Amino acid sequence: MLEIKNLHATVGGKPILKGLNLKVSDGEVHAIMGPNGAGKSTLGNVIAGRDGYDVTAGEVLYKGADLLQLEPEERACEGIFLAFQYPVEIPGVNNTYFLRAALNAQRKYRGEPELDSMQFLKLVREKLHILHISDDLMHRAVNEGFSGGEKKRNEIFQMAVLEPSLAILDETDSGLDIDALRLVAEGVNRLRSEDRSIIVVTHYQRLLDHIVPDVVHVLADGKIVASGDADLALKLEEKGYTWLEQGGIQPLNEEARV
Amino acid sequence: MSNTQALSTADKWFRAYQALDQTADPGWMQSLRENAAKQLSVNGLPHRKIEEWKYTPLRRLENLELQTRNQREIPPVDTQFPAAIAEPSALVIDISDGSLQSRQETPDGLTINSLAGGLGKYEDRLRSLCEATDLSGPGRAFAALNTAFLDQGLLIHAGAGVKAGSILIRWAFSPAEAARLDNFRVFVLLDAGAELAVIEQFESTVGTENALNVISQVELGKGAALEHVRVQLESDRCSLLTSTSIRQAADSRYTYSGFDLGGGLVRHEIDASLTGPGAHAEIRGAFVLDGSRYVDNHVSVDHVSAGCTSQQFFRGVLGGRSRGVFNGRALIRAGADGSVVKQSNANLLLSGLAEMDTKPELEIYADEVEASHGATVGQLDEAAVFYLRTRGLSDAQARRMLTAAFCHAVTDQLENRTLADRLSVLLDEAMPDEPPETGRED
Amino acid sequence: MSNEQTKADPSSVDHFVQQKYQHGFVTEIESETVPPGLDENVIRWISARKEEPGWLLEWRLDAYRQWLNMTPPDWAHLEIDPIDFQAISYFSAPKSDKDKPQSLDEVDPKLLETYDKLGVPLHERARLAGVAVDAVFDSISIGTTFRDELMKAGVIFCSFSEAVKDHPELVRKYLGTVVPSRDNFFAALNSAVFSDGSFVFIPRGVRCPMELSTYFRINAAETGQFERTLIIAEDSSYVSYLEGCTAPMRDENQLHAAVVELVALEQAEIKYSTVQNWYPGDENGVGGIYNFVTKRGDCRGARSKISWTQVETGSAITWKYPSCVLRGDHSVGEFYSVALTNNCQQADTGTKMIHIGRETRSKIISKGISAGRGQNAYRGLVRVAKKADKARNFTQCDSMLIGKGCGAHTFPYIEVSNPSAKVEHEATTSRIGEDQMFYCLQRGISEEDAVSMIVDGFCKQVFRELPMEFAVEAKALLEVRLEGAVG
Repeated sequence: MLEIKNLHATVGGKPILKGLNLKVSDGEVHAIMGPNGAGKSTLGNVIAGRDGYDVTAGEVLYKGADLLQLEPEERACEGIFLAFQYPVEIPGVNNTYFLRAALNAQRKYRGEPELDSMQFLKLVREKLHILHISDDLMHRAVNEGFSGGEKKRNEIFQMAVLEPSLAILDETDSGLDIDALRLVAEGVNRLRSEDRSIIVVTHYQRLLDHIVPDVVHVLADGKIVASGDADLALKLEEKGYTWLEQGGIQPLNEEARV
Repeated sequence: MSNTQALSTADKWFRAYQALDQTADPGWMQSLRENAAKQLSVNGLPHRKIEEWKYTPLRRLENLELQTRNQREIPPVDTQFPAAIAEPSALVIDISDGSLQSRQETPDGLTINSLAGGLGKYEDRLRSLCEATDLSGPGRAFAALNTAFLDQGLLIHAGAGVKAGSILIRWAFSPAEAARLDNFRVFVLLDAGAELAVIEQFESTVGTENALNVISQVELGKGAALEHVRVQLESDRCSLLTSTSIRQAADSRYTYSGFDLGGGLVRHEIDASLTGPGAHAEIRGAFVLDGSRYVDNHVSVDHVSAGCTSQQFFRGVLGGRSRGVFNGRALIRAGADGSVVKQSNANLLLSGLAEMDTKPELEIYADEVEASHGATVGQLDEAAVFYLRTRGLSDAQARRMLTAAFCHAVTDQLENRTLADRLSVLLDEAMPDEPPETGRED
Repeated sequence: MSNEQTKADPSSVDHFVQQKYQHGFVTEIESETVPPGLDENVIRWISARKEEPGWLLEWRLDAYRQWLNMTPPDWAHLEIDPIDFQAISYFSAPKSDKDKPQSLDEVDPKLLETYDKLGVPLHERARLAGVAVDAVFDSISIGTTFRDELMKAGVIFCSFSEAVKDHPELVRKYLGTVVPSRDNFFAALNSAVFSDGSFVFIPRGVRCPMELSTYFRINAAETGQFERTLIIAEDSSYVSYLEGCTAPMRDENQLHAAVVELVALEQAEIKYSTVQNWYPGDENGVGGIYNFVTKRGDCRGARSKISWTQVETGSAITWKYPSCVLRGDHSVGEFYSVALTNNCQQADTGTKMIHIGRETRSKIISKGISAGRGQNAYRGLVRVAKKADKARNFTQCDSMLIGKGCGAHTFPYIEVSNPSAKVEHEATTSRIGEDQMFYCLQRGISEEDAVSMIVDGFCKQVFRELPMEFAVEAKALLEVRLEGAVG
């Protein structure tokens, strides 16, 4: 699905990613953990193609092709979905209208017929039902005036409607209380499937109690410094990130991961 | 327009006044006209040194010929209107080349008449309104001009407590050989508790050069409510100058929603005077400009009484070589305690040749007030553009959607949702296709 | 006009005075004061008296001729009785000691009371009140100490007249390049008749070792009503300049029309702070200074920065718009202002930020406080020219009303013609909330203390920009000025 080789990226001229390697196979859920400033959010933004995040070396292959050549919307249409850490408020743009425009843009790209509003509404109702989200959400402007929890659920809801192949959840747990966290995690779990890979970027282990990852990576100073199974996350939680710095585990190369 | 030119154009128009045959009109009207013509002749037209007109390019008005009753033959004009924006149940009034074309049967309690026809029953009220028009100084030259040629007018009156529904006024020009300037006056009188919606549509199908100078005078009785919507989609050869003054008694409510999506030179003056306690004025508008259009909204709200509230809310999108002006003024007089004033003007500049000038003014002489204003000129939020693109929309699509949403902030405030939806569609259609310039990167 | 005629020959002074006398004017040469009125001869006299070079006299005369065709600005939100410009005397040298109060006993007790409240040191009070006692304060030695240190750094800091004599090439190069003599009515008047002022030159790469202040430039005190200041900061230099004095100055001039020009070259920074506390007139609006000031800074070089901070509490009328012309790419302009009007004071003040260079930034923080029957207007212009790509402005402009009889007004002009510019303007108007007041009173704070506490909080953003000692005094000044505004 996704293969990142020796990725170097800068933000505003400042190097953030410094030789990151990562391989995510179809259907896998990977968690990326790391201290603040390690480059976790940068990774998501680089994959999604945000302006100002400049790749200075390395490559990103998505479904075997060079991802970095594509515009952000082309990446989206190819099936990459970024759940934002801070979902953007867009006053005046109705949620339904926005999502239908997005879905139809992607369908058009894939050569599928666009959905009319009746078809779209039916799809939306279905997804809302599955995710236990009230349809009141659909009548409001995109993220405007949403609580932190509502914003994150709206991201997961968009993901459910757009059905991406690769979803990157950027700190989706931040700012959520335990109930909201559970709801969001349930939503994500429902969307797990054999042909969809998910990268969960998080600072804390607690989300991983609910979304159990296949692989856990530790990102520090722009590189993956350790990889392991779900237990690695527990150890990290227990001992803290300083444990890594103190040489708690030796940096592993990519082949050594589970 | 330079000082000398301003005078010579005014002179030309003054001579047209002198040719006016007004023997059949009441004496007060004749002296009103005479006084107005004198003001015009003494002061001339406004120019850049006049603060209120510093941005308005009046040059294009110089060649216009005045139409007077004597010259005008009034055949029924074959004007084609595009689809109406008001609901089908609305009464329709057509005003073509500055003269009233059609009137319909009106329900009980609602009167619609021409100025001449209204003089009998309403003479005193109309006279006092006409005489109250501020004509002093070059800043009021177009009011003086309008008054000097006071002739064609429309009277709308709703009696106490009448829920009068909606009236659609369609303004149009017929094809003409010479560029010309028409004057017209509208009176809207709502007695206590009356309610009315007036929707004005300016949308000629002919592209000849024309100008229209309209004065509207609105009187709202205690608890009366007027919803005033103006949609302007004129060609860029059209000049439109409107001046609307509203006198509001206690607890009355005036809402104005203006949409300027066309026109060459457009200037709206809206002056609300909140004379009775608890009156409320809400004045908002959106303008989407391309080409070399000029649109100017001069809004002024005068808080005379205590406990009044007002809002001014304008959004502008400027492309091409267009120029937009917003001048919002709120005056809170001594004693107008408990006043609440909000002013907001936000603008998107899409082109390196467009210009936006904005000036939200507050003048406050009472201390128990809540007043705030904000004005911005800028671009779309690039984070929002990126967010939309990560969901699959193209850059152009994303920008168009966000630009439209920026203007929907105005339609969102309309209570009449059906009308709001229609207006939103108009706005969407008016969105410029050009991708915004984000500054040279070299 | 030939050079011969314009040359300011000291001998012609006598001739001129004689001439005047012949025409029936009474002029006592000893008092060095010209009779009221303004014509070219007065200007020649001033220039000759100051032993100025011909080019400067010519410059003055040119300004005077421009001025003759100008009219006083009438657009400000000010009510001013017409000023009779022929009734003013345009040159008066410092008074001789015999005309001054001979001791503090002869000084208005109200003035002394204010000094007391402001904590002005005893030895300072006499100087401020204009008492003719030379030994109050060792001004000469202090002045000299500073001067030595500045000289070591290569900084020139002297009176304008001295600069004309000692550094004519610098004066000639920069004078009038920021505020042209025809700029406006009062700038033209100042250019024609300016008496004296300060001159500062900071050479390339020098960080001025101390804050410069008119306070220490005692030799040029009483520079009078037509002050002219010119500050030049060469590449990569820095200077902080403090103007004015926080104690009320005894001043008999009704009309003040000063001009300040700042030039910041590449990467230079000039910080200009003013505390203006001239006589505001009495409770009924009788007397008081008319203060018409033109202050402008030119960020001529790339990455230069000019920052204006002003605390305006005095004068009957304040007409003042310290501005920045952001010509250099990436240059920065700032304006922080507190303006207080009480009793019958009127202020129309603000700034202009003219963005010309690319990625220029400006910030405006204005706090207006109106009390009594005071009228306080913010008037500002933010203009972004076509080529000012990615220019940024943020303006915050807050007004506070204390009492029923005052007014607070906001007139911001925003003119943008570059699509990559971002301009934001916010303004609020408020009064001291009853709940805020009650909360303070309930905690045992007196009404007056509560007001000054709340006002101080309101002005914090601006005070923070002032040098520390200045800020403390400015705060005390507001308290004094607000006395009697509540209750």
